[in-house]
Amino acid sequence: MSKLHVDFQEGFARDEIDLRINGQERLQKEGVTTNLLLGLALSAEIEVPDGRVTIEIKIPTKNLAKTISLESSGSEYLAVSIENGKIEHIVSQKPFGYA
Amino acid sequence: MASPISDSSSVSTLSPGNVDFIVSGRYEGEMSAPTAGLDLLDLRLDVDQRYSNSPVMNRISGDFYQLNKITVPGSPPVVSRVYRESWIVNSPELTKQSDRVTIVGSVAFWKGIHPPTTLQVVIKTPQSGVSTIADVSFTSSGSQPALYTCVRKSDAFREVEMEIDFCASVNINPTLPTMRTTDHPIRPASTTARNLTIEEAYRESGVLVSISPTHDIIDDSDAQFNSWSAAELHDVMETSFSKIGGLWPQWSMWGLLAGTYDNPAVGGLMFDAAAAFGGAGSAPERQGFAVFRKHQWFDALKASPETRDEAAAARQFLYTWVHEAGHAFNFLHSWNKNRPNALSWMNYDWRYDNLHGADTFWSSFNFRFDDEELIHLRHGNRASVIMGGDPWASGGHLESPPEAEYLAAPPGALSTIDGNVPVEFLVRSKPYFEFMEPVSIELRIRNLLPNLTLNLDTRLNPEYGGVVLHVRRPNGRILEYSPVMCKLADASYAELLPLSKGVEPGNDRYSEEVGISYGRYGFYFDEPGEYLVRALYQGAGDLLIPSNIHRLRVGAPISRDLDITAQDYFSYEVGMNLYLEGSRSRYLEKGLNLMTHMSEKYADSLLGAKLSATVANSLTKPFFSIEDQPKDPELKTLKLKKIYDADPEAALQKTATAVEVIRNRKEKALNLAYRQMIGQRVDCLLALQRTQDAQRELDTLHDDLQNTGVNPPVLRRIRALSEQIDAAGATGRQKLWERVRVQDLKAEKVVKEQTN
Repeated sequence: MSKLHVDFQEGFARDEIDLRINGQERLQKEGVTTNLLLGLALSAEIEVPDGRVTIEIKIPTKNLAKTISLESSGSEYLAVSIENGKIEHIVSQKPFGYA
Repeated sequence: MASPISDSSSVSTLSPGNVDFIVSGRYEGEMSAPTAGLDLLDLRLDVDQRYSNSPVMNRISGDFYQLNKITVPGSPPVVSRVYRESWIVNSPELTKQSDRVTIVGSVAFWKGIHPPTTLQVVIKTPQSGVSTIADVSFTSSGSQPALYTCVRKSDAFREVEMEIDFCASVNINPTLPTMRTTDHPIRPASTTARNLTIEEAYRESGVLVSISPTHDIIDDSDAQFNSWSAAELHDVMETSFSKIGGLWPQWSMWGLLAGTYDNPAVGGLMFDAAAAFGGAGSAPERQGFAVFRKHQWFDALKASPETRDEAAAARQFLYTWVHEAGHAFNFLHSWNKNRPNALSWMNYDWRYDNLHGADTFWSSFNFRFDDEELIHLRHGNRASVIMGGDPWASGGHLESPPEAEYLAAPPGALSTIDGNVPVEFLVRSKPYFEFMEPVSIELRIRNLLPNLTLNLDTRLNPEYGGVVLHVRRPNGRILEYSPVMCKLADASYAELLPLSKGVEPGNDRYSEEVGISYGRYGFYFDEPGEYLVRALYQGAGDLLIPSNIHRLRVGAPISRDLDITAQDYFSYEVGMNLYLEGSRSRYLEKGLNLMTHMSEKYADSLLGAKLSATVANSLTKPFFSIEDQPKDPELKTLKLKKIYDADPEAALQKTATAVEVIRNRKEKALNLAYRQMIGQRVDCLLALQRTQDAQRELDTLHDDLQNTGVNPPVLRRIRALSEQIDAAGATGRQKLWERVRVQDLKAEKVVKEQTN
C-alpha cells in the first residue's frame, strides 16, 4: 500500500468534495473553504494500492468533476485547486509546504 | 474603490545624471506657509538608487500629520502629532540641473475629495556635512500653496520595530535567518553576492526593520502540548508582545519561532487576521506571525551551511521570515493578486515551478518583492500598510480581492498620536449591551499637562462637529458615525486644571454621555457581536487628539419574542426617537408606541430602563406642530399650535422603576446615565414644585455616586444643586445631557459663590 497525500488548495468556499479511489468513496467533506493566509483548504492522507490508481474528484457545489490517473508507489502528493472554473491538479513526489 | 496607483509599467530607473547625489529616501519637515508649524509632512522620494540591490519605483508619496503645539511659559512647547492622510505621485517628472533636482507631479490622495493638486520638490546640492533639504510645495486651485521644508532622515521609506521571541523547544542556533545569496548553485546568474537577513531583505525593499536585541523564551515543554493553533499563537502574542497594549496602529510587529503548527505542512503563518481567512480573528490585525522551525523545510538548517541541502534550508528559512512579515504588511500571496508568475517573496516556489518547470523559481528569483508590492510597501496608503491598520486582505491592499473594498477604514479612523500628548481623549462605556439596548458612550477630555490650565471646548457630541466617531462593526467594516443633525453653536469652553501632586482629581477633566445607537445612516449597533469605537477630538485652534480604541459587545436576543420585535425596533421611527431622545411627532408615533410597550414589558432590564427614560423625555416638554394642510390650496399660512402639554407627572411615573434598575446595578459605567435620569426627574419635580422630592433624589444620587468613587468636584456640584434647589429652577431643556450641562453650570455658580 502507498500513501496519497491530498491537499485541497485554492478556490474552495463552503464547498462539498467527494473523492473516490478506483471507484470507492474515500473522502467526503462539506463546508470546505480555502484559508487565504496559506492557500490551503483541507489536507487528507489516504492509503491507496500500489500501481496505477484512478482518482475521481467531484465538487457538487460547483458542479465540477475530474478524473486523475497516477502511478502510486510509496508517497505521492496531490494538490487540487479550483481555478478559472475548472479543477486543476499538481502531482509531486515532495510534500507541498505552506507559509 | 478607485486606487490612486497607476499600473507599474511606468516603473523605471532614473539615473541621477549630472547631479552627483542621491535624492531618494525619507524626508520630514513642518509647514512653512501659509501657516508655519500647522502640520508636518513625512515625504518619501523614490526616484533614484537609494540602496544597493534596491529597485527604483519612480514614485513620491507622503503622509500629513497635524501638529499640536501648546506653549508653556518658561518651558519648551508641548508637541504631539496626529496622522491625517496620505497621498502618492505616480509618475513624477524629474529635471536635473547642475545645482539642483526638481521633481513635479500630480498628487493623488487615497481618501476623501480633494481639488486637483500638484507637487513640486526642489532639492539643492547639499553642502558637505549638511543634511539634504527638500523644498516642497503643494498647489491646488483656489488656495495658497502649502510649503514645507523637509530634511532627509533616512534612505529607507518606512521604519518598523520587530520583536521576536523563541520557543524553548527550538531555541537552537540559528534562531534567526542569515544566508549568502551565492551559497546555493540554483540562482540567477546575475545574483550579487551578499549576506541577507530579515533586516537586509527589508532594507533592500525600502523598510528599515529593527529587531529587538532581546528575545523572550516561551517554554513549550508541556508533555501534552504538540502543536500550535492560530488562537494559541495570538494568545501568546497578547502576553509576550510588549507593544500589544499600546495604541494601534503602529509600526511594530511580533514574530515567534515556534515548533510545529497544527497542520505540519505549514512552515510559517501570519496568524493575526480574520477567522474567515484562517487567522485568530481578533482586531487589530497584522500584528504577529510565527515560523515553525520543526517543519521539514528546516531539517538541514545549520548556522554555516556547507551542503546544497543546508543552503536550501537557510534560503527557505529566510524566505519564510520575510514572507510572513510581508503578510503583516498586508500582502496577499502572488497568485491571489492574479500574478502567479511573480518572482516575489510572496509567491510559493512550487507553484511557480508548476507553471514554468522544475527549479525555475529559485533560478530566477532575485530575493525581492515584485514592483506592485514594493510600491505598496513604500508608498501605499498608510492605513493599509501599517500594522493594526486596515484588516488583512482588505480594500486598502492595492491588489485587493473583489468586494473587499468595504473593509477599508475611512479617513481618520486610524489616526495615531506621537510625542508629548497634552490632552487625553477617552472613550468608554459598559462593556456589554443587551440586544437593542440603546448604546451610549462616555467621551472624556482630560488635561495631561502638569503645570498649565487648558481652556477646551466641551461640546463633545458629534452633532457639533468637534468630535468624529468611528465604529468597527462585527463584520470588520469600519464606519464613521454620522449624526442625523449638525448643529452650529458657540463653543462651550471649560477650564481644565492641571492635575498637580496633591490636587484632587476632577477639575482636570470633563465627561459627557453621547448616544450613538442611531445616526444618519441608520442603526450602528444592530447586530450581536464585538464593536470597536474610536473618536477624534478637534479642539480649539488646531488641537487634534485621537482617543483610545474602546471595545464593547452587543448580546444576542435572549428570547424569540425579542428577536421578532427587532423587525419593528430597527426602524426609522424608533431610531429617530432614540436620536431625539423622545418625540411626540405624529410621524414618529409608531416608534414611540413600540418603545413605550417595550419599556413596560422589559421594565426590569437596562433595555427597559433606557427606553423608559427616552419615552419619559418626550413628556417633559409641550409639543408643538403645524396643522394638517388646509383644504383651500390658496391658503398658504400653516399655524403652529400645541399638540401636547408637558406631562411631568407621567414622565416621573415612567422612570420610577427605571431609576431603581440603574441604581441597583451599582455599575460605575452607568454613572452618567444615572446622572442624566436624575437630571430629567429633577426638572419634572421642579415643574411640579416638589422641591423637597427633587432635593431627596439629588441627595440619593450624591450618595450613590460617592460610593462608586466619583471625584469630589462632581459630588460638590450635585450637593450645591440640592442645597440651592430653589435657585436652580427647571432647565427647560429636553436633550438629556443638555439638562445635565445646564444644571452643572448653575451648580458651579453656586459652588463658586460658596467658595468666595
